[in-house]
Amino acid sequence: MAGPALVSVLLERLELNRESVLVVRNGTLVPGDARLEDTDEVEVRPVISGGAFEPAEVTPPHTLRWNGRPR
Amino acid sequence: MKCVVCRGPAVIDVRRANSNFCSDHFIRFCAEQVSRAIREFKMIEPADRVLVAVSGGKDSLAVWNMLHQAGYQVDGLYLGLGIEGYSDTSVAFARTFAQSRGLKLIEVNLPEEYGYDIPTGARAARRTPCSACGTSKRHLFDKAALEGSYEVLVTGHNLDDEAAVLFGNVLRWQTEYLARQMPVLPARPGFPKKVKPLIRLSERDTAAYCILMGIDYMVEECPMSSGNKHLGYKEALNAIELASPGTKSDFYSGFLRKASQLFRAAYFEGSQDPQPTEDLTHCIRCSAPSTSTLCAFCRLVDKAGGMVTVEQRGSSTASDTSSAQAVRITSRAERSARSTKTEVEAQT
Repeated sequence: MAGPALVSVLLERLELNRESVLVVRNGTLVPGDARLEDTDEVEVRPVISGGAFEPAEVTPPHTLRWNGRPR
Repeated sequence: MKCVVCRGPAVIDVRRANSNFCSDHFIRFCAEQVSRAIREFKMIEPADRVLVAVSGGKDSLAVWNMLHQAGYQVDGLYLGLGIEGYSDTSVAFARTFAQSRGLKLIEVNLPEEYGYDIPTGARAARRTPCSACGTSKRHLFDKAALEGSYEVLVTGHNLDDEAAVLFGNVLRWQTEYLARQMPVLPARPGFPKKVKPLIRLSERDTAAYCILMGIDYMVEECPMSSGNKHLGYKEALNAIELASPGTKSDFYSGFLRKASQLFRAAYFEGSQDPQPTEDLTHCIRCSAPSTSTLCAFCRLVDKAGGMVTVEQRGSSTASDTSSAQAVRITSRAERSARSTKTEVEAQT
């Protein structure tokens, strides 16, 4: 994608959710209205991490036969 | 875009707060959110000795830094999971952070000390890697906090983590989990107090905080968590958040304010303790609280312990390396004997 372009436009073009990434221009964090030039070094950094290790393993208190799925 | 506080150039927008911040005021915003969470839920007292579970990722390093800067006595605990191409890198971030600030980092290494890593442990126990990892973390974090006489164990769970867990619990109406999902779990016999000071910050906030504070962290995702259902929940919530900023925060804070009490009352019949202990006994091997004679961690060690030798892993922790002469143990009896010995040694 050729510059210049706004950060928000770049993310739209890349179909990235702005809640899930940060944009770093030449080593500096920039907001959605920052303008990116062709000469800029741009990093789109994902921020979502997984592996939440909760909840603790416990036996469900009430066991119903039907689990809600078609038999 | 201008900072809502000083009108200087903003570096980040926080849409749920309808605010943009410059670097200094964003860092102050993060510190205030953590301070409010600690105060609101009585997470940490000034004199408490605090242990932070550190992964080398943005959340654990951010919370460690914020608590250190706020003046708490706070050490780190890193658990080496033996995940190839991931654990060696993540421990380096944790060590660099600790060394640069003169902080104490305790390291526990699963392959060296318990004879298994997460991939082989999960296969041996026929469980998902995240499940085997969770069992290992819960047990070893609790153990380290109690043995080190820490008053509080801190984890880096943020708003997105908690909202995603809540979303999953609601989707399947896991009422017991809903009754237990609290940002503070009080200390009780066999368990340290556990707190989550980052519940008011999103993971976008903690990543931005690390970038602005110059904290290098492990950006790459754990390869084992690929396809993890919580990642799917986070993506779904972020899609909603994009269209309606503040939804995630309202969802989680509304649960804490309006619903969690109801689940606790219904499930635990009025008890205010989110972790009633009446059903718990003690593991006959390691004495940890357990619902069965052998705790989940010792059962995992029985199945997986001895499946990975230190030579195979090429482990590189700062802890004692004399166990590098471990040999591959194949029979179940030998594995059991070895894990019992390890537990006894670890307890003394």
